[in-house]
Amino acid sequence: MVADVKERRGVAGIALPSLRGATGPLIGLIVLCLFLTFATDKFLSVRNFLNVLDQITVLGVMAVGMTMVILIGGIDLAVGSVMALAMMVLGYLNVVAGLPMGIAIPLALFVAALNGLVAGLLITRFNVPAFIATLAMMSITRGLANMITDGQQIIGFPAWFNMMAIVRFGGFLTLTVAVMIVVFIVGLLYQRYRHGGRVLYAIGGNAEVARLAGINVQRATVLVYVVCSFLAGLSGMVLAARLDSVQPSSGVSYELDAIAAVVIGGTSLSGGTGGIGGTIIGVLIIGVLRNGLNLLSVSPFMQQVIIGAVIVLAVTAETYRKRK
Amino acid sequence: MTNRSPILSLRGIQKSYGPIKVLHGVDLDIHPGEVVALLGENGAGKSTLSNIISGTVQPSAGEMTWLGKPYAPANPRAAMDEGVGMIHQELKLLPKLSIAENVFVGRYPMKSGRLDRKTMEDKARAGLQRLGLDVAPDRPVEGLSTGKQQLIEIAKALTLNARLLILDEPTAALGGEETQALFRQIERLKSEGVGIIYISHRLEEIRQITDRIVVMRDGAKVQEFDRGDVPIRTIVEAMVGRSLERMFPALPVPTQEVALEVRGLSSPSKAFRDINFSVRKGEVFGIAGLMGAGRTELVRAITGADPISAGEVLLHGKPVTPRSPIDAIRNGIVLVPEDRKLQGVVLDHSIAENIGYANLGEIARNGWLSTRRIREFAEDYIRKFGVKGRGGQNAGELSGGNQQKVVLAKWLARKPQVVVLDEPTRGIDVGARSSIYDLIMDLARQGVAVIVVSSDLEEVLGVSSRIMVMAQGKQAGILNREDANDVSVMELATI
Amino acid sequence: MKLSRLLIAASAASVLALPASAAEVKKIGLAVPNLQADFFNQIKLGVEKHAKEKGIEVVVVDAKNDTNTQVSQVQDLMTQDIDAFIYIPAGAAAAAVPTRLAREAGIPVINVDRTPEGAPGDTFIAGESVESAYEVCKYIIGKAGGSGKMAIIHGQKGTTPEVDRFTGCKRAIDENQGVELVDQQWSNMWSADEGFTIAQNMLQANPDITIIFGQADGLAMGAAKAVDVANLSDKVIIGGYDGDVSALEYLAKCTGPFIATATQSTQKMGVLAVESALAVAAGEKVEERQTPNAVLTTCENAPEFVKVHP
Repeated sequence: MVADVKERRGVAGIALPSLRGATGPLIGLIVLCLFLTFATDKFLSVRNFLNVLDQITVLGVMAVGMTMVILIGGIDLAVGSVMALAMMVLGYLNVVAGLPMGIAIPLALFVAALNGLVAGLLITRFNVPAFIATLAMMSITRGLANMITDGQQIIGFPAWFNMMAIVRFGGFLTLTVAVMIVVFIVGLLYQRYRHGGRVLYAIGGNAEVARLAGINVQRATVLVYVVCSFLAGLSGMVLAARLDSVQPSSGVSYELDAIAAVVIGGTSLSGGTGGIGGTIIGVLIIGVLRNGLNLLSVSPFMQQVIIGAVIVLAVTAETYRKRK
Repeated sequence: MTNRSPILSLRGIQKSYGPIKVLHGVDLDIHPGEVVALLGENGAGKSTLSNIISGTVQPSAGEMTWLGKPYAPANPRAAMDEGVGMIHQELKLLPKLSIAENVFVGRYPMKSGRLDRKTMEDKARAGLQRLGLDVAPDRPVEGLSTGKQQLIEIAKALTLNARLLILDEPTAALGGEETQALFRQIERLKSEGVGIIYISHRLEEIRQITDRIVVMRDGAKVQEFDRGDVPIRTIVEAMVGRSLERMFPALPVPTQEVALEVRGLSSPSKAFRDINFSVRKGEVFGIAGLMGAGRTELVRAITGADPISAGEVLLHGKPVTPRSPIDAIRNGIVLVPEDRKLQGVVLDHSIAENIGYANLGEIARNGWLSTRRIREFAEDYIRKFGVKGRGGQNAGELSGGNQQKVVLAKWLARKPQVVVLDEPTRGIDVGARSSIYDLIMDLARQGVAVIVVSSDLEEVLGVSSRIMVMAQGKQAGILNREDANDVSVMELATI
Repeated sequence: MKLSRLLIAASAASVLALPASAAEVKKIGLAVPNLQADFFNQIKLGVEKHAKEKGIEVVVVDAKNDTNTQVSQVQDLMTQDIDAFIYIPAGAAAAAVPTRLAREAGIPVINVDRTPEGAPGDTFIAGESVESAYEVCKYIIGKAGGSGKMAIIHGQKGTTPEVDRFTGCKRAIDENQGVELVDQQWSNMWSADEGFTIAQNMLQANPDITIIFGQADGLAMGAAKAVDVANLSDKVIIGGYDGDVSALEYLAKCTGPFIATATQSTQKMGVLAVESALAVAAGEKVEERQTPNAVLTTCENAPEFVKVHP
């Protein structure tokens, strides 16, 4: 009888590895949506749903990278600053230097990825703890972002750039939302069905076991930080389109939002369990919650209290469920 | 002995988890100044019973009497206050704290409201020296070998001034010298009237140290011997509930072809120096030595897990000196590490995933794989190795023996040429051990060169056709099976 | 099934509840950058007080200084069918996107304090920083005897108030030959603790500074603390800006080194914003730029402002 129970849990776990540990958050999201549907007549509409999608693009793209980092038991505190740096590089190259977007965007993403490479090498080659290495990178990249224009914002992107974030093609998706959805799908497939994705679970589960099993832990670690920074840069492109301007003070404390989304989605901070499926739900919970609280005209101070409470609730509910 | 009144009496102790009964009414008496061995296979109920005595678990039914009074500790603290101390099988030390702090954690000696660091360190040093361990009490536990950590755990229990001590596998990571030091301390405690419950898989030790043997099987007491020196065969038969044909399977005859050769190998940390030996195809090569002799470091270096400063490793005459585990694995040299839980398996991942991790490249097609494919791949090996568990089950839920089979399965899927097993049966019960030995012999029969490192002398002697003995990082000699016995090995090991 | 019927009923009810006339303002959306700052909080209080008198509902969203958050919040305001939008842009870059969203919804847009480049609202209400900053600096330089070493603690670099307040103050410095501007540093949050740290560093580097201008009252209050700690209270003179409640209370005591500020009519700005929204909605003509004057405030007139904030 016991074996049966274990077996069933095992099957469920193995059939839906990307949702493993995320069933709680999923239920939470559904309950939240039901509540908001009845609490305000403004919530349940296509328009509002598309608004929510618009609003989570930046966080969503960033959180996918953060999930991979946390999955291997790491942390990346620099994503908010890297995002700002990528935005400033984009603004400088396109508006100030006059390069076309087709060159400026790849270069900005390259600069972002480079930051991840530095962080990854600090962590693997010089054994700097991930927390410290990315804390340092957070400060360095923020400073660099400010230096490009001496703290000034840059405006004057081509008109179509902002349209990417505003025009809903086919009355449905903006290009920025489409970018997020592509990142979600590629991330999910990679994590579940690619050799490189499964390796991350092994490293997060126990790095020494993974190393002794012949997995190149160092290379995978560097790669994960590069990808995370690249995605932070990509979220910067999305934000630049959304705001039609870039400023070096963007993205302050976004790393904490991304970490919160990952954790709410059921990925353990110690690594090895969870995944991008859960993170998508975590991002949606944060997005729907903020949207709903605005729609309910909850006072801004009360919103902070509620969002904090939800994080606590999500994580303790998950811990409690596991213990049972 | 029995005319004195017992310190602790257990009557009809039962324990159930839901519908599953793990203890069926156990009676047990412990008298002052006696060492009682508690034996049984994993799952026999030894740990549950000792956890009940030490207050970690509460019984479902039955009574306990402590010094003539009813005894029902609500938690380990309450038991400790009564005078019951326990050394757990898993080490429960705080890696960042100093040795002395670990010994006295929770009961720090105080002087006028402040921590009396000097007294604490002096007492800790004295406690450790009695066990033959000479280390600075102010250094952190982190980085000490498993054996030394175990001694610290023992020192911690010895300073408790307990009336009853429960030792759960205290010698699992100890070499001969340390074990003897521990036994001297046990003798001292005995003479002071302390009662001791001794749990171990090393039956040789049991004969040497205990006054009484209690054998458990499937949650019940099945047999009790009133003396310690019972023939091992008799004890084992009582434990497994059937008569044993043999402990060790017959050794296959090795070929003459040399598979692995090690020339002048040295480690940068000086853990081993100038090691030379070769292993033939189909041979089981044992490595023996005391704790700290450099055995583990040597085999980790051969398999690429630790660095090498000089010398080379050859496979079929070709130099293959590894720079990383990946290098070694690519050449077919694999390691079953010493610490299963920290280096062998990811405890909270499934069996299938654990087997898969070493074979993802094999399982994937053009880099694509799915959980289903990993599982199908693993099921095959789970069946072949008789792992008692299913693919989706977490490795942490398995017994030690089954975990070890998972580690072996993960490697054997790659058809390795050299398999190195470091302490292959540590913490594994007797019944399961012989199936590990069978697996080792199967490997050898298939032409694999096998290296077995073990602190269990009987084990090395039983499975190896040749034995290299190491002492203080150097190779003290290589003995042929005919010349190897406990005396000749110990002579070399203590040079 | 049951659920969907319920939902249809709910949405039908909401259609019936829609305001009859588009020109009638029943609900105003207010987007503020950061309620932690007293300046914005005062504007919010002004808006809320006046709207209550008029029987209008106010929905406030706080972007916590993040432009991206503000854009999301404005989207949500539009979803709530507000009838007018009061927009105080967050961050150094005033985003044009919220204005565009409101234009799309066809409702009045009232900008307060900052205005996004290239996307003006129906009117822009902001204090005139250049002139008032000139007044403050002229006053403190005069108190210092028209000469001495001076330092400026700037606000967040690149923001409109930071630029304007410096322009005004610089004019006062240039008019006095004896004043030497020896140090300038920038803060990020306009906050008192930054002012404290920056001033302490400035005094460390130039112990003979006698005049400090903090571009916000928070910065000036922090600087005053630093001067007290350095035991220079009787040698240094400090000026601030904004007229925060706590600063006015400080000035009213007439004891510390911080002696003058420019009190912005923040509550009045809020009132003005609501009035403008009503006027625009009713189709009336509104001034493109409205500038409630900031008043030079010293120890003499501070007590009356403490009683009633303008």
